[in-house]
Amino acid sequence: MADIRKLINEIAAQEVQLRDTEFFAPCVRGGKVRSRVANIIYTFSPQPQDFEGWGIFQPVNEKTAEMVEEPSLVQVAEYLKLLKPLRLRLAYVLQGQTWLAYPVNESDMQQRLGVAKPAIVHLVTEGGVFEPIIARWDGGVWWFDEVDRRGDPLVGEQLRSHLRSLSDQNIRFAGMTPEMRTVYDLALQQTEEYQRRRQQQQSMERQRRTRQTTKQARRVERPRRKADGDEGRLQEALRMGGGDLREFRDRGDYWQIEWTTSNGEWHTSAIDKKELTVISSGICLSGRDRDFDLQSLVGVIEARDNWDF
Amino acid sequence: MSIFFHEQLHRTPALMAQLRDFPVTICGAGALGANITENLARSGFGKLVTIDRDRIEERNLSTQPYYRSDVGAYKVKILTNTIYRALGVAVDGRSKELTSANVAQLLAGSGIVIDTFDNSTSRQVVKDYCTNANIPCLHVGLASDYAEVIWNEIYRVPSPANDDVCDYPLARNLVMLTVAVACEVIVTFVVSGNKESFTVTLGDFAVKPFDNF
Repeated sequence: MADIRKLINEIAAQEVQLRDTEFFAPCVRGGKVRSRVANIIYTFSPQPQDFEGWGIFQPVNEKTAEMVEEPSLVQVAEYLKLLKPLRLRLAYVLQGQTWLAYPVNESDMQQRLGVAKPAIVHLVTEGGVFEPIIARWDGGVWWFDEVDRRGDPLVGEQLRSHLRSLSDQNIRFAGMTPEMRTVYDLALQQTEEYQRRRQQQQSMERQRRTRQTTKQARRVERPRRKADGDEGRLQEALRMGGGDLREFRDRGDYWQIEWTTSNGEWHTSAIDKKELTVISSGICLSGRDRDFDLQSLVGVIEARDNWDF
Repeated sequence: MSIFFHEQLHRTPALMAQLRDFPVTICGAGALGANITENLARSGFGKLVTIDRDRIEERNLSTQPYYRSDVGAYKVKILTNTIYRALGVAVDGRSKELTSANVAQLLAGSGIVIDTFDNSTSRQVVKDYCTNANIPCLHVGLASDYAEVIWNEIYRVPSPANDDVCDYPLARNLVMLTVAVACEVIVTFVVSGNKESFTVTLGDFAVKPFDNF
C-alpha cells in the first residue's frame, strides 16, 4: 500500500517545482499555453489574459501562468527550427496576428502534408496582404517564422494593385501562378466592395447560401468584420485630413500604415492603436510626433515646408 | 566553409578568433551605429551589444540598414533580428535610453565602447563613464561634409547648440566611408592596441590622421 505522506510530499515538491519553472511558449489571443513540469502536462491561462505573441511564462498556480519576459529572436528561431517549414502567401487577417494564407506551391504542401488547402497562421508579426512568408507546422498549428526573402515583392504589389481596383475578372500578369489566383480570390472575397456587388447581383442566392454556411466560415467571417472596423477607422481619420489609406499592418502595439497625401505622395507611418496618435510620422517633427494624431498628420506633412520645428 | 572565409584569408584565422571573442558595445543604432554594428558582425565580431531607444522613421531609410516595412519598430530590435537572420550572430540589443543612471550597468564588460550618439548630452555621459572606468572608447561623429573617428583621450564633446535632430545634411557616402574607417580603427585596436584617430571629408575624399592641437 502506498505511503500517503510520501505521496503528499511528492505532490508538494512538484507544486514548488511548478512555480519555480519558467517556460517558453507561443500564445494566440484568447488562447492557452502548455508546458510539461515533472512529467505532468499543465495547461495555463496566460496573464495578461489578452496576451498574444511569444512569451517566457512562469506559473502563478496550476491554472495561470504570468508572462515574465519577451524572448529573443534567437530563442524563437531555435524553437521554430524544430518544426516543418512551408512557403505560404498571406491572404487576409482573421484576428489580431492570425492570418489566412495559401501555399505558394500547392503540390509542395500536398507532398508534405497530404493536402493542399488554405492555412491559418498564428503570430504573424511581419508581412502584409499577398506577401510570401515561411510558416512552421507543429502537427496541429501553423506558426509564422519570417517573411520569405526569396519571394518576388513585385508579385505582391501587382496583386494588391488589382485588389485596390477590384478587378475580379481574369487578372493576369507575367509569372502568375494558379496559387496566386487562389490567394487573390480569397482576399477579394473579403473586401466590402466585392461583397456589396455580390449582394446586389445575387441577393436571393446569397440568402440561401448564408443558411448553409458552415461553422468554419462563420468563424472566419466574424473576426474579419473586426479588421474592417480597424481599417475603416484608419481610413476615416486619413480621409478627414485629405489623405488616403493604401495599406495597413498590425504590428502589435501600433498600426503601420501606408498612405498617400492629396497630391499622391506616398508615406509610411506608425500609429498608436488606441488613440491614433503618431508614433513615427515619416518626417522630422523634432520628437514631437506624439503631439499629432493621424488626421492632423496629413495636414502637417502636406504643409511641412511652412513648419518651423 | 566559414561565412567569414574571405575576411579570414585577409585577416588570418588567429585574428578572426580574437575578433569573435572581443566584446564591443555600440551606443546608437542610427546611420553610424547601425551600419557599424552590421559591418562589425559581417567582419566576424561575435560579441556585440547595441544600445538605442529610437524607433525607425521613414527618413532613416536612406542611410540606415532598415526596410520600409520596419517603420515604427525599435531600431535595435530590427537590427538584431536582421543580423541574426543574415549571419546567425546574436547581437545583444537594448532598446533603452542611456543615461548617467544606467550607463554603468549598460557599458559594463565592454572591451571597447563605440559612441555614435547624435546628441551631446549622451556623448558626454559615455565619455565621462569610459574615462572613469578606464574603458577604451571611440567616438564617431558627422557634421555636414566632415566626419571624425576619435579616441576618448583626445575627444572634445561638441557644443549642444549643434544638436538639431531634424535639419542637417547627411550624405550616405560620407556615412559609409566613416563606418569603414571606424571599423578598421576598431580592428587595429583589437590587433595591436594602437589608437588611431582620423578625420574624414567627402569633398576631397581625404582620410587624415587627427591633429590634436
